[in-house]
Amino acid sequence: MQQVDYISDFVSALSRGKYPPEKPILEHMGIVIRQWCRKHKYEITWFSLDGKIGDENALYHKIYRQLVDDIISKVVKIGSYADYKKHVVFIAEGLMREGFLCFNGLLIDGCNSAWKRVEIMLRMYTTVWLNNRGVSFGNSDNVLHHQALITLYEKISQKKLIFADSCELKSYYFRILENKSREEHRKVLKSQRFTDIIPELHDEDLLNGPDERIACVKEQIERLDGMEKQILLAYYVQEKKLAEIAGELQISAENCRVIKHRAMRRLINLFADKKNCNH
Amino acid sequence: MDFSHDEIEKRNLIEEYLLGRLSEEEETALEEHLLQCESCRDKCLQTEQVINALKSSQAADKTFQTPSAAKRHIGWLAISLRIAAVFVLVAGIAILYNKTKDHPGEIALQTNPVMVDTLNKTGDDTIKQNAPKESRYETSSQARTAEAKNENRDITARVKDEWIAAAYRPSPVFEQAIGNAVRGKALKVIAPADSAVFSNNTTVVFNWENPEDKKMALLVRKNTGKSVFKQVVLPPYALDVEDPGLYYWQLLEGDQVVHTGKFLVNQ
Repeated sequence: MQQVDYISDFVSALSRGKYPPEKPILEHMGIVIRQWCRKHKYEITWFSLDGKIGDENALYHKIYRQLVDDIISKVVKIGSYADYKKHVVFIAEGLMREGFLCFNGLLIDGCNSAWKRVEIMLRMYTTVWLNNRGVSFGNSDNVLHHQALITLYEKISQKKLIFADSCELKSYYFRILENKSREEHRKVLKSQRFTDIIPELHDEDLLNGPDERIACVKEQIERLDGMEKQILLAYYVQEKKLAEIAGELQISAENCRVIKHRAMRRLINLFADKKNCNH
Repeated sequence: MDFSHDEIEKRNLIEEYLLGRLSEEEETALEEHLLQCESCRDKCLQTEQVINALKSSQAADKTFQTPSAAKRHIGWLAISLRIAAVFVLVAGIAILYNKTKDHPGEIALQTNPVMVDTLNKTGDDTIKQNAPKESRYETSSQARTAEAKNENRDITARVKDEWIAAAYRPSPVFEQAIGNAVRGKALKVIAPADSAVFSNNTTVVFNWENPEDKKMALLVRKNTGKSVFKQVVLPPYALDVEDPGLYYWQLLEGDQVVHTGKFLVNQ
């Protein structure tokens, strides 16, 4: 009953012209929208607002303002959490599609920041794609990934390709990657890297600004022992089940669960507590 | 459905939510809880950030062979070693048998399973024809021959099973290509149906409709990647497929794959 009251309180406060604190709603909205994007394979960072690379927080603010306007002007009737979520997702989807089209335009124009965002996410997916085929990515020097990215860049900028959404762009990239992975093509692959076209840019400079906590966590990940690292990467990157990982490592499922839980707890505590950051 | 703090902690629901492992109902219930519980919301945000850090870490990039990838490599190696061990065993039995044999005109054990099958069928007759004189030594030799024959049947069956399994083993690369849906293309594939099963020595008809009317190349490969057919053709196109196994087929526009499918041919 409490959940229904919270939404009702929020709606009735807005109707009376009183604005509840934004922070809880914005945080919650971010969680829900990112989860929705993960489920539907949308890339939340591939969008542009007003011709510039979009900031995720700015997107949530825009969604929040739209939601508030719709409730006040009674465009939508929100009586339950389900209604609230449906409308938030509806607004988010519309803004992300619009934002992606602008982002597509930036890619066609060869905008470095936009391409760097694409490179960051595609590198992550390629690592998993290669791992599933028994091939390691190898210190980010993977020729296949760079060549596929260069081809994608050339096709988008020369043919001015427009995609309906980020899913379509990713599908297109994986088709290129698959073609490149064929044996006969591999022999003629050049050693040119994508950073020969797009200069090296730091990830932290592009997204929400540098975050010491994330840098701390990444450093700690490097220091994990072999089994902890294997378990965490298999569970969170490859999204395998614990029983499967335990079987492959030939340890008990309970042992695997404990190792994973302890390692993850250490990383989360490190992130939460800036004072523990040794960097 | 409502969740208490204890239940969320005990079942590690926040992590399960972020990994997409909750049902719709559980997801909604957790999200409603997060709307009003600041500590759970903070924990969710922290866990999300750590998972993102893991995914984008250099550890994920570096030379890292995942347990299953290692197992796959080892799996193929193990199968090859097993097949090699079987051949060595069969050859060893043949040598041992030849050393102890006292009868002319016996058939030496062959490593070719077809010939081994032939041996199995004719072995009894051959042994009867060359039946030794009754003696203690000859009786024990007969027993050894029978034993070797039985063992040989087991080895043959095992080798055959492994070869059959290999012919139908899915290829991760092609399975991924099937999974990557082609968006925005007006191509309509009529035949064969996905994962259609055909009998041995059959004719497979490939048919599709392409409103853009562009020429397409048809490529048919075995699950090992070995090309069976590649040519620019017009639909419908009939292809004779002899060997049993799992096949992948693709339509290409230039060098761009526009469709990937698969079919099976029974033994």
